[in-house]
Amino acid sequence: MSKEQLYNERVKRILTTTNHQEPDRVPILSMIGSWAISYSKMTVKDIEDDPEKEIEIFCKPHEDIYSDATYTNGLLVDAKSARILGSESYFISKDGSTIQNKEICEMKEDEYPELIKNPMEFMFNKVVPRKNTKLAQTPEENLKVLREFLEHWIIKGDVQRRLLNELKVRHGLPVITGPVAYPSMDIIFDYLRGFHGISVDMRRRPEELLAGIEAVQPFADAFLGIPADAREVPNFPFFATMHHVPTFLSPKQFEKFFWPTYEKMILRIHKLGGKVIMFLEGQWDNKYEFLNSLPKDFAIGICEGDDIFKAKKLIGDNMTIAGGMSLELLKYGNKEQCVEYAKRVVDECAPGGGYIFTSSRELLSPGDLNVENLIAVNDYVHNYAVYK
Amino acid sequence: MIDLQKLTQSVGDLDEKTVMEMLNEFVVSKPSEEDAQAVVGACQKGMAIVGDLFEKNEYYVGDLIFAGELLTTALDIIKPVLGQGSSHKIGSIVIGTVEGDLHDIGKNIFKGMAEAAGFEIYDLGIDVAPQAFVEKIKEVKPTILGMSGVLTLALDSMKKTIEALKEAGLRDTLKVIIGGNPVTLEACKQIGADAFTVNSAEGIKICQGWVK
Repeated sequence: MSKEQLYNERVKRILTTTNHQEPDRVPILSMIGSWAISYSKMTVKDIEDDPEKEIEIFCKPHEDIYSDATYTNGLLVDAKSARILGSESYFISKDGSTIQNKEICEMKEDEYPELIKNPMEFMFNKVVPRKNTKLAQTPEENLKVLREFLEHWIIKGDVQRRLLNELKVRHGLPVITGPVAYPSMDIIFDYLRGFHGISVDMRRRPEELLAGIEAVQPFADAFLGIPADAREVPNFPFFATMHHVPTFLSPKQFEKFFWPTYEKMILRIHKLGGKVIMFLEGQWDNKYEFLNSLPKDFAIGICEGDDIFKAKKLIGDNMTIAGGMSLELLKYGNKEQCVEYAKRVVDECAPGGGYIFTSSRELLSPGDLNVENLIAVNDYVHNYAVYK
Repeated sequence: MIDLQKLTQSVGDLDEKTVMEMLNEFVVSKPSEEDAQAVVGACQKGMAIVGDLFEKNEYYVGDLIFAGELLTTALDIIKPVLGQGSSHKIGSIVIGTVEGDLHDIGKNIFKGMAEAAGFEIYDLGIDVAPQAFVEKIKEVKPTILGMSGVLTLALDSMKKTIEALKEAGLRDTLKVIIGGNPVTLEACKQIGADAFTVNSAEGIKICQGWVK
């Protein structure tokens, strides 16, 4: 079988299961983030010095570990971009290979009227320079910084485009996430007000926060990259949401602040024939009613903190669930324990389709797991989880 | 005289307006230090209600953060009438985010709630090396060590810290609790901590159980 055929077969496997039909096998997703760097015995600095290395680093795990798709393409977060712009928002950890985020949210609590009045003007002219010191200089100096930033991204963008292709031609491997569906409340949470700010705003200025979330929505819509006159969008790769704030919200807060704009945004994707994969960060079991209100066979949820067996029962008929392979077990357990657990996950979650096998968390740091365990469970599931 | 029960309930309800009105009225009434201590106690009891509601899933993390903000604001108002009298501490906890990890939101929520519960807190901040924990524990001899982390790499740092404590002969003199997104029962066992939690309110209760 050619790599292209293999690629197409895997995409079909994934799409079939997301329609709650049983494909030939349970698809296996690898969630390999910055862990790939340490696996290749490299550092983030190696990539910064030679951007081409990102291709080798993110292809390497797939020479050794079986999977039908990979979650993301290369490094999602970039410490060099932050450095160019004069921000500490992303930086390289002491281990040299994990990239961390530091929350830097510079919008003040009394600035909602400005945000609401003109979100783009406020975000880019006021907040961006506060967060990125090198963009708070003279126009000429700012231009120089922006030029350096763009030059960096021309190279990095080209590398990532080629990485996507290399994964396909070398390994027949699709990347499951495509454009990002960024919830507007998460934009305010991640970039403007932060943990403390948004928690206080929900209590002290709920109406302004709501208006702010609505004001930012056109920006989130633009981020989707769907032309206004589009009549359809591809059904693969999926639009992706890495949810941040929801796990910290009560169901009432979620319903009031988060859901209205987000639901509207993703239903537009549904109407155009697309699907959404959601990284359900933290725990979501108190928000299942919202997930169950989405159209059937539309969403794929990667469960991080939720009990996969309960998730299968409570949301598994409506959406596809992904996850289940405990990363802690992959780290601390032995092969037999891991395989035994993987068997249980597959036995309970696979029937009827709507299930993708993957680890409970994304792999980021060198010590995140014992790779022999991951190789063993993925091989096991690939051979065992065959639909008859 | 201020209605302490109402104050406690208003803090528990996170009813900032009522709390502020009551406290502003209280401080202009030229209260005694003793009365002021009682008001602080009532606010702290209110925080215990917040913790209970969090455990019952009626409050969420955002509410805990707001509760911390509310308590800080409240104490700032009371401070001028509080005098120098020190309040009784039920135990001491050295806390910090472990080496390699710079996330401190969970740690800070725990810190606020632990202070409200009457613990003396020594906060070493973020990215705390095993040796820095060891030095502080030698110096202040706490009842409890609380280690926090969000990243998976924190698990290895927690383990290293406990190994360093063992080497320094300090492990048996204190209880160790670990908290944060990646901690689980399995991780707790491997690391050699006495308890783990992903829930600040539960963490406080565990610590309270240790100092009874």
